[in-house]
Amino acid sequence: MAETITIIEQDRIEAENILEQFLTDRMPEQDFTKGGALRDFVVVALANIFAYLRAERDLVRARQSLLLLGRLTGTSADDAVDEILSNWFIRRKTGQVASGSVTVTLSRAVDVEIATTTKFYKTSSLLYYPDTLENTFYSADDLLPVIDSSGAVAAYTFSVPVYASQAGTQYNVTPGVFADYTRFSPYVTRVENTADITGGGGNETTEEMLVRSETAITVRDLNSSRSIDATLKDEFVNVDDVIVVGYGDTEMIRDLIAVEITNTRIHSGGHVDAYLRMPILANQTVESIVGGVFTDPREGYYILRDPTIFNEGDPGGGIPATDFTSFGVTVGDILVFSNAVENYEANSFIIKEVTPYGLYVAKRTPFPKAMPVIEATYNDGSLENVGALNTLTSANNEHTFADSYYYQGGDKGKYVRIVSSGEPRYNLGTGRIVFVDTVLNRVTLEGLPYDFVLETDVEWELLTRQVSYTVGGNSPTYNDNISEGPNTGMLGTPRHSGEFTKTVQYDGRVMLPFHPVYRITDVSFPGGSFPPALIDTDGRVRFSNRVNVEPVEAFTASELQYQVIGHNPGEVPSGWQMLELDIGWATDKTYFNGQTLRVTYDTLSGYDAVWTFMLGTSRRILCGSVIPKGLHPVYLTLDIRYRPSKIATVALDTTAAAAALAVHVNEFNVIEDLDMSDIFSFLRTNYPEIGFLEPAPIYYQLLAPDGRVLYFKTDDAVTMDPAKIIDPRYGVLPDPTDPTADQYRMDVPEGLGVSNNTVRYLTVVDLITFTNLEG
Amino acid sequence: MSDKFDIHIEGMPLGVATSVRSITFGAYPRSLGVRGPQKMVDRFLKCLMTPIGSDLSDPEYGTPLAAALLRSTVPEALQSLAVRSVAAAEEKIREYDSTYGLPERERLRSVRIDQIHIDSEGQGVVLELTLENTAGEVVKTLLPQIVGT
Repeated sequence: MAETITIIEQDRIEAENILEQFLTDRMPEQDFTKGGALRDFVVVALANIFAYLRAERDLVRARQSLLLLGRLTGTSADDAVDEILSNWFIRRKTGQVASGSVTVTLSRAVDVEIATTTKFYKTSSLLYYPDTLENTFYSADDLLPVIDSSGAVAAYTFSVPVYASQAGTQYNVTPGVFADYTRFSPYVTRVENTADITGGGGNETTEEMLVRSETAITVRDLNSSRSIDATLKDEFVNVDDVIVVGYGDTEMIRDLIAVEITNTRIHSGGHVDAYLRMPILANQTVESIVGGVFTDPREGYYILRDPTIFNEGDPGGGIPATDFTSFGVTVGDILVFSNAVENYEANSFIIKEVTPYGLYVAKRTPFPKAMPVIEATYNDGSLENVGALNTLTSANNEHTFADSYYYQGGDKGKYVRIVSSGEPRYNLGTGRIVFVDTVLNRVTLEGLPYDFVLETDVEWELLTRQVSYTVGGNSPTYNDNISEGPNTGMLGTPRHSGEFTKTVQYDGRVMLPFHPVYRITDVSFPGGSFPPALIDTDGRVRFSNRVNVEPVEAFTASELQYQVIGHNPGEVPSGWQMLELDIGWATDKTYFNGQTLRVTYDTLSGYDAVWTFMLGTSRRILCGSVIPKGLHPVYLTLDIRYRPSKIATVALDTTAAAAALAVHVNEFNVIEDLDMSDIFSFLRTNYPEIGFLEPAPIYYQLLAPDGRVLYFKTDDAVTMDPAKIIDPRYGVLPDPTDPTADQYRMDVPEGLGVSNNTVRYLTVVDLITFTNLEG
Repeated sequence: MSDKFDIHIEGMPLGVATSVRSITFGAYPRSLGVRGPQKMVDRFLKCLMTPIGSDLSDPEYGTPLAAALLRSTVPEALQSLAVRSVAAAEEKIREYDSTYGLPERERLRSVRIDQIHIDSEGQGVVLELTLENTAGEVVKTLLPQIVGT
């Protein structure tokens, strides 16, 4: 390492004084005072060398001390800090990469696939890549038409999320056209970013590194605030800040166990939430089938489904259409798992929720595992009802039935499940093998709800473990609602066609992605054959009103509503969140089922990687549940009412001011409370064109973890004080005597894990308006 | 403070001295230690012939005389400079003397220029000085002609 030793005058003076004192003591007869020749030859000459050695000694000493190194500057000091901190495996963080989105304009509506290796050059030296894990397909139907002044479609556009190829602030760029790009379609006419690409940062400074090192030198496990902070900041450049909530913190609700009888809630401990402050990744999209099946990402199987219960019915009327709501099951009834392993598996479960597609039991007391257990799947089933008995033949001998009991190595006693059938109203179900005909390679089945209709080439499964169950409220048998038998007449004995699963399904709803979902900016699907009155100008059915209650029927496009529902507020927003978006009308829940709904939203850049890291088998805490969460987003709506300065020579650029103000709010020091004076101070400092700012309240919206939007208004600091919550219909505190105002109430924010510590104040240009009071 | 000895220096002989080489230990078999008035004269001589700014620990130590001899200086200016340089050296030596509390015989009371001879061709100067210490002793000294190079 090149090093420069600098001797300052003070060093030399001190060296001369020391040498003079030393020589005078050793040689008292000689005169070493200033002005003498001896001093020149002995003291002054040696002082320079002496001063040099002292400076070098001080430098070496400083390089061994982080305290002293913090006062030094330059590359050598940086290198020295790197070397010392490397002894504790602390590395200098590389800078963050900028991210944003680019808008691609096409001359034709064609399908486009963007490979992950596609390059977008803002300039010859500023390269960006698509911010996706896989190649992304953009259907021609999803392109946004650009309408010219004559009303004709002039072009088509779509957005691609991008990230910078390297870290650095130079990748933060303002809107504008991209210079070049990989040719992924011959119809591309233009690539541009219409919003800032932001988030890029330089390498960690020595000062920042030293501050971080104070907490970094700790146990590198995810088991304390210090170590979680240190580990995450060390591993992920995108983690700007970490707020840890654990046992005893008021915001901790994930460890609550409810005692339902007394409505008591007990903190069990063992849970830690690491709230992350990370860059915002805007305009992410996800497409899902409305009313489709979604799998809960969490551990545990707590839903019972049964394909023979969800029955679309016989058009002839022989079999009625049924689902789980057809049998009088209510919350609190008991589900008996009849073939539970004694002394090992629970056999009774309290029903917590009844939906058409399944029965839900408590997530904390789930079923033992995913069932049924399938030994093999075949496709040669030949079904026939012979002598009032249902029989299945393995017509192509894909399986050879053995005429002995399963514990003897045979097939008797096992179960057969008919998976798919052309006659689902009759032929679906699970039956027990009671007889084996080895000559015909045929088995006789019991327990199926209906007699088979003759059918061949049916897919069937051989089960080694089935779910036999009953449901009822009649103690002790609990079988008066669902049991074996046809839907028109339950027999009371166990039904064998149950499935223990964690796949959820609700009419009119889609599941949102399993990571923080911040602002939702678009909810829509192609208009297709829906009434023209419901279709927006771009040809899509667009749901532009977010509400806190179940959507109601709409008659015009502008009335379409959607609701977000958080099933597990303690785990929202995180990788375990069960956040649904409901567009189904209360009066016709299935109206939009089957549509491919596209949801555009903002999220946290890099969150998924942190989630995988923290819950990975090598780093997770074995005796606790430690998960990363996003801070609860709070969006500020700002109406800046101003008069221009009398001495201003140019008009206020409100677009630029709004953009700058958004950055100011989003990067505001979270330790301080944000209030209108901070905003006014920022505007006065940076925009001399403003002469007068009219005092005004700040309106802000919490995207609560239960899916609601809660509205606040304040004349002072922006906080989560419940006294600042308003009913947006009236602009005042929600009336506690008005049941319709309950949707806007949050009397105890901590009850949802919300506090001033766990929220993040944000805004966007769209939410900022400037009003010139002089017109 | 007892009268400690310093190492003796003296002006170089006429014809040998230059503006950058004007002081010598003298033509003795070994260096000499000096005390008393001679030590005072040595200190004065060294200060007078040290270019100002060349002492890193005291940039104000020295006089402009030696530096002036390096340049082409008109005789009238050289004479004026020599007078000012003698006064500057006197002031600096007296400042040092008061700082260290030297014995009376080594402390400078005053310097008087008896004669200045300027060599108009060789850019040299000859100074005849009278130095008096605080003990009242008087020492006359002759600085030989120093030639600029």
